[in-house]
Amino acid sequence: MLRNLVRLLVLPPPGLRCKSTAHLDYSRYPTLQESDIEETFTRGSGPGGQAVNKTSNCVFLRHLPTNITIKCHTHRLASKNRVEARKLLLEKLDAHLNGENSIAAQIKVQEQRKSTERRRRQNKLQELKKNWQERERTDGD
Amino acid sequence: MLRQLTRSLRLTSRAFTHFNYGTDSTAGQIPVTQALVGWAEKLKAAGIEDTKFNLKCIISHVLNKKFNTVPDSFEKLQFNSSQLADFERFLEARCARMPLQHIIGEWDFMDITLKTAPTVFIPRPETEEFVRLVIENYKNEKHVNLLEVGCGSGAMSLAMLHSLPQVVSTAIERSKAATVLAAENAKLLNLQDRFTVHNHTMEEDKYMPEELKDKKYDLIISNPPYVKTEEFQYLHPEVVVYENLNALDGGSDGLRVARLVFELACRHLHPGGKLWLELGNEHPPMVKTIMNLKYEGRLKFIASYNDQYKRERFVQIEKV
Repeated sequence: MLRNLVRLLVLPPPGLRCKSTAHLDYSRYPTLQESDIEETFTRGSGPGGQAVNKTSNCVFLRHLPTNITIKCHTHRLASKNRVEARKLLLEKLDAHLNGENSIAAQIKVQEQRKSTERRRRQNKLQELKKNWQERERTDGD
Repeated sequence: MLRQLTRSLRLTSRAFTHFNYGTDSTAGQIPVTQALVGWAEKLKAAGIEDTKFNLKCIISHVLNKKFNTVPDSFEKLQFNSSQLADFERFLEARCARMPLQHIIGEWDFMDITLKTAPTVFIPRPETEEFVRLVIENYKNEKHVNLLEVGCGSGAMSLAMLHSLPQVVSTAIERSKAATVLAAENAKLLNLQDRFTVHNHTMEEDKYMPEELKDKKYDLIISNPPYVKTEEFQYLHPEVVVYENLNALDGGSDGLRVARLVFELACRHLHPGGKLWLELGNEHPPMVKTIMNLKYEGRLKFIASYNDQYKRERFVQIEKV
């Protein structure tokens, strides 16, 4: 079951995908094998099930090949935190394995490029405005 | 002079009300970080272990905010006077070991949120795994006529209906309170057109209520009471005091109610239909034996499965 969830997670979550037609290189994006993950989530000792009503929601993941660990308790329900933790692990793995080629880094570069382009255009506009004002003043003389 | 006296009296009396906790509290508001001083210790003293989680759930509920939008540090959050009163009331209840889920009146189960009610059994996380397994096995079916035995708050059926539009569910439930709650949850989730619950207690020779005595189903699911009576002494107060013992008591070997479900399945499953059960840790091998010895030609043990804690607890049985 979780294998299906993991397969879904091979594609990065929509939040990470750019709204623009930005071309992100996913060729290096890592895949998560359940057999590589050590998962710990407390449910108390003993048989569990009907006999117990402990409400721990915290999930710990350890990626065995790289020893990267994730702790997740964002949601009220442990089952949601299991999914969230795997998403976070994938992002961390991507950064660890691919460094500047990770999806997060690619997005950052694109955002920076966009903001420098925006600044350049703004400066150009200011320049044009200034020149026009200068011309108006000299014309008025 | 009298005016001076009454003025100082007024000031001192105001100093004793809980409004005057700190200099940074605006009129009638108190920072949550101050309101919770001392409560973690009180919870621990009452025997509650995951105090941070309990506090966060209760604070989110009082402030009517989603759990995952509230910061762990509770910074910049404040209670007004009625919220503070609620907060303290809920924490006192929690110290009396009232289940957290009953206090906040709702609990999540897979992708849905259910209303909870006093005495009604609270869905367990292992049951989410059970339902996920059943959904996986039925997601490609065209139409499924489902029967749930002992639906409680309606968690299993409603999660299935929410996930698979082709499923229609009938449920039987012995507790009046749970029957009412399950119907209410169906309405809240807008699933009432595919869910009906009947208040009925299974017994020998009267497995189903009168109005369902001739019905047959494609799939029967159940998480029947399976705790052995002798294990009751080890249960926490949250379970044994606040939840209904009928929802837990499986008799001496834990399979008293499951045995009734086996008989019900013989009579109310289509040939080839399946019975899926969530039981206790030692039950699957016992169920396999019972199928082989007592139900040959009628029911067949297909397989058992583990929950997410790697405990063998789920079984699949087929109507021959």
